[in-house]
Amino acid sequence: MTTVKTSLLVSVFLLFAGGNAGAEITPYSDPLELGDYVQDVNGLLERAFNYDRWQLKSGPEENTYIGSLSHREIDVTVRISVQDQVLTLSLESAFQTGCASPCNDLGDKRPVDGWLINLRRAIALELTTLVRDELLSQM
Amino acid sequence: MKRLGIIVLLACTGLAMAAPAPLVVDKKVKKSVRAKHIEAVHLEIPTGTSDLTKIRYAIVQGMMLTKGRVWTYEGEGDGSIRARFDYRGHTIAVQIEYNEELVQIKFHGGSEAYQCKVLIDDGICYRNHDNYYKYTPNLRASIVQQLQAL
Repeated sequence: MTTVKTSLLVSVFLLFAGGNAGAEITPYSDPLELGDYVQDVNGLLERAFNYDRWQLKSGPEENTYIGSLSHREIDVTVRISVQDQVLTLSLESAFQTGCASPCNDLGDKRPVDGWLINLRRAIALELTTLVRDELLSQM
Repeated sequence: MKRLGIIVLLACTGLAMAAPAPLVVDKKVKKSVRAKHIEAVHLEIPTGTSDLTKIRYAIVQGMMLTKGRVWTYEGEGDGSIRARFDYRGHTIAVQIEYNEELVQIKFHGGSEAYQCKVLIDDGICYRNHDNYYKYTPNLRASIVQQLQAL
């Protein structure tokens, strides 16, 4: 019985101690909650893609959009999924331009991460504007 | 077993109480910055109105008009809006909690360098990267300005 009590106490402690550093944040794959603010996901993405050199290649097919970027001799493909009004962004591929596939080993991937962070931020900025406008219309 | 029950109850109560509250910086807790820097981020803001739509608008407008780099909307819950700040590969995420009287910024998460080392009272960060206490006060100041403009 003592062992059970000790285990429970340790579990409760770990449950709350674990939350002390805050939520785990990833560079670009954290979900974005669109809620009821976005009726036209395609329009939102087109506006966001205009911020940079990204191109919206296809979608929506099964709630998935594909985008691409060719920059500094690197070809990047990104997958954007929208499920239950939650948008998530993931890296599909990144390789040197002209490199025969498969050749995904870029060595230093930091520039690609940076481009994906910027794309996610552009989408989030568009979403923020929609949220602000909707709240303003309700006032 | 009775003691265990009390601990679980207190813990659960703490989870349910995610709401803005007057900030009192605990002087006994070892901090990385002075109390005034913690207050510049986490001090509660009087709303000046009980209209929750107006309060939410002021928060989001404040995010968009923050001096320097703006904060983006990430989602919301009952009485809170999550906001994110991405800059030079680093990220700070906060939860902006509100009710009819107060608005308060709480730490939600951060990239590696911006993990809160000492997190008290479900969101008050006493120890973090110096830039956390440099960027986040701009958000608070902007929300104050927007609430005053309502």
